Amino acid sequence: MPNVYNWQLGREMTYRFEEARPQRQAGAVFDTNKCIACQTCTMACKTTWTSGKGQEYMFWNNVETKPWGSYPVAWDAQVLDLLGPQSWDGDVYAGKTIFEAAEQGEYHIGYLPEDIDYAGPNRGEDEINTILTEDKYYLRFPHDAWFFYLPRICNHCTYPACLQACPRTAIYKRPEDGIVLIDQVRCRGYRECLKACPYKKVYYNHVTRISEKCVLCYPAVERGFLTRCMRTCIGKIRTFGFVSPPDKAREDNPVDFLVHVRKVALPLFPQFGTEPNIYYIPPIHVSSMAFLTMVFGPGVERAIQTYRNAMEGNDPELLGVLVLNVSTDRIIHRFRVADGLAYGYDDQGEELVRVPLKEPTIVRPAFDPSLSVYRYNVT
Amino acid sequence: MTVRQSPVRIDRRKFLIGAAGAATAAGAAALVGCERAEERGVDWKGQLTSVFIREPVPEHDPDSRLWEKARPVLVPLTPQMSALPFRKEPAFPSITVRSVHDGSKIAFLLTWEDPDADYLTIKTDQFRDACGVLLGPADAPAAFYMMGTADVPASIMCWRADWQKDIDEGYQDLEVAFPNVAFDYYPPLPKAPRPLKIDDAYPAEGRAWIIGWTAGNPLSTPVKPSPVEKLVGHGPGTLTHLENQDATGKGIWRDGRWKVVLARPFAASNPGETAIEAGKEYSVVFTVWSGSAGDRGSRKSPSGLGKLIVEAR
Ligand code: SF4
Ligand code: SF4
Repeated sequence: MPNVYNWQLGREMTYRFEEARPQRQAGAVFDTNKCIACQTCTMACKTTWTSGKGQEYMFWNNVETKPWGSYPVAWDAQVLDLLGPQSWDGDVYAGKTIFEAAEQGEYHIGYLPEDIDYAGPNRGEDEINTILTEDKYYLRFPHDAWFFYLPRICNHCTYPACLQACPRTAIYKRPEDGIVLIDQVRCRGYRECLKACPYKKVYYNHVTRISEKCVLCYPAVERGFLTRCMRTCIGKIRTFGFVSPPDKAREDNPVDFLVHVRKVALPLFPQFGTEPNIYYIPPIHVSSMAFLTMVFGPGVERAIQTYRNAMEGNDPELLGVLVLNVSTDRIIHRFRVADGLAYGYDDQGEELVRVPLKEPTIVRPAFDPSLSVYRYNVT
Repeated sequence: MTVRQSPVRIDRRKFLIGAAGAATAAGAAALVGCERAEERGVDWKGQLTSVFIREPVPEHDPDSRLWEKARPVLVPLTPQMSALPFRKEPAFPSITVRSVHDGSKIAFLLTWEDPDADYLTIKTDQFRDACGVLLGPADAPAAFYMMGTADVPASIMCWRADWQKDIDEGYQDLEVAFPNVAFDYYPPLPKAPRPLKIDDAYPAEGRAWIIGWTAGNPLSTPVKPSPVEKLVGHGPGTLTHLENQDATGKGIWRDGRWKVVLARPFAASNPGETAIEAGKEYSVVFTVWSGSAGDRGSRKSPSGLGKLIVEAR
C-alpha cells in the first residue's frame, strides 16, 4: 500500500491509493462555543436531501451533546475502542490509524451499526459529564460540570475511509472541490463504506438498498453558495470555504486563517487518519483537557488560549473572521479587517459583505411620542 | 416419500433394499439419509457436463424432474483471499450443481444446505443470500476466476434472494422491515395511500426522492423482470450490469436448503458476452453468499476455476 502524507498526524501513513489532493478542498470550521443545538442545520439538510421514503433515519447533519450524545449510538467510543491506545508524541501521532490497525484481509478497522443504534437521534441531549453534588459546582471557568454541542456532517476527508473501502470504487472524490460522493448507479449496497467510515456518515437507504451520504450541497457550492446547513445556521458558528494543505495556506482565506494561521480550529478525531476537512474551535468551558485532546488532538490548549485572547479584544483579525460567519449566503474566499469592520470577498475579489467587529448599541427613549406608547425594549 | 428416477439413485435404492431385505421404517429412514447424501453428488474433479435434453430447460422450476437427467456434482467452496476484503473461510463447504441445456438455453441448478434463508436486505445490518455462475472461454487464464480479467471478460449470472422475494411477493419495502413504522407524509406526496408501497404505481412526482431508482440502479428498481441479473466482469471490483437482460431463474428455500435455477440463452445478447455452443467447453466458477454471515461483494465463497462441457446435441 502507498505511503501518503497526513499533515494532521505530522507524518506519513498507509492508504490504498496514492496521495491525490484535489485542486481545492471544500471545508469548514464550526465554532463549538456558539452552537445552541437548535438543530436548524439538521432540519435544513433533512428537508433538502433526505425526506424520501427509506431515508427516515438519515441525518447527514446531526448535532450531538458531548460527552454522551452520539448518533449512531456510541459511534465514537466503538471506533476508539477498536483502535486501541492512541498517543501523541508532541504534534506527531504515535498510535495507529484506522488503516494501519486493519487486520489482514481488511482495508481498515470499523464496525457496521445495527438499526437499533439509530433509534435515538438525540440521545444524551444536554446531559452533563458528571453527577452534580451539592457543594462543588459553583460557576467557574472552565466548568467541572460541562457538556458541549458537536454539529457533525461528512468530513469530505482527504483520505476517505468510505472511498478506500468500496471494492467497486463507486465512491469518488471530486478533483475540482474534494467533495466525496457515492455513485448512485455503481453502488451495490455492500455497506463496506458504512462499516469503514469512522464518523458513521454513510447511511443505507432502506428502500433503494444502496448507500447515501452528505453531498455537501454541491449544486450550491458549484455556484459559489454555502451549503444548506451552513447558510441556515442560527448560531452563526460556521465558516465555509476552501481549506489548503499547510504549505499552501493563504492568510486572507478565512478557513486557512483559522486552521493554519491562528491554529484555533482543529480536526475531529485526527487519529482516525482520514484527514477530515471539517474543523472545530474547541469549547473553552470544558475542564477536561484529556477529553478535548482525545476528540480534537494535541492542539487544544493552544487553540483555547488563542480564542480567549480574541474574545478579550486582542485579536481583531480572528474576531473579524468569526463575525463574517453566515453573514452572507455566498462563499467568502478572502477577508480583510480594517477600521473596526470585517470585509468578505468572493473569488473574483468582489465585496460580498462588511460586518462591524462590534455591533453598535443604540439606546432609545422609553417613551415613543409618535405612537404614544412605552417601549419594552430600549436597546 | 417420492424416490426420484436418477440412475445413480436407483442403484443405491437397490443396494439398500437388498441389504435390508425389506423397506422397513428403519430402512426408509436410511433411504432418506442416503438420498440427502446422494443429492450432494459426486466429486466434480474440476469439471461439469451440461447434459442435452430434448424438452425446454426447466428455467423456472428447481423441482422439475428434468434435473434428474443431469448427474449432480459436488463442488467444494473455497475462501476468497485474492481481493480485499477477504472471506477467510467458505460459508459452506460445498454446493451441488447440475446443468442441462436444450440446444438454445443453458440452465444450472445450484443446491446447498443453509439453515437460514436470508431474503431481505432492508435493514442496515441485513444481507441477502445469493449465488452466481461465471462463464468464460475454455482457455481463460487462472486469474479469470476472480471476475474475469481486463482482456477476458467474465459473463456472470447472479441470483439474489431479495429479488426472488420482490418477484414472488411484491417489492419488499420499509414496512416489511419495520412493521410499526409511522410517518405523516413524504414530500411531495401528502395524499399518497397507506401503506405507501414503492412499486410501479408509485406516483411519478415522488420518485425523485427515491434516488437509486431515479438514477436507474438495477438494485433499486422495484419491479424486477427476473431474479437473475446478467453482468460482465473485467476483474475484481469491475462488476457491471449489462444492458440486455435475458437471464431467468427461480430460487426456493425449503427444509434448510436452497435450490436455485439460473438460466440464459446460448446466444450472447451483449457485446463481449460469452456465447454458448453445444459440443464446446468453457471456464466456469460458482459462488455463494450467506446473508446472515454478512456476505456481500467480495465476502463470498467461490469454487475453484472449473471446466464446463456443453454436451453435443
Ligand atoms: S466522513 Fe466518512 S463518509 Fe465522509 S468522506 Fe470521511 S470517511 Fe467518507
Ligand atoms: S444551526 Fe448552527 S447553532 Fe443551530 S444546531 Fe446547527 S450548528 Fe448549532
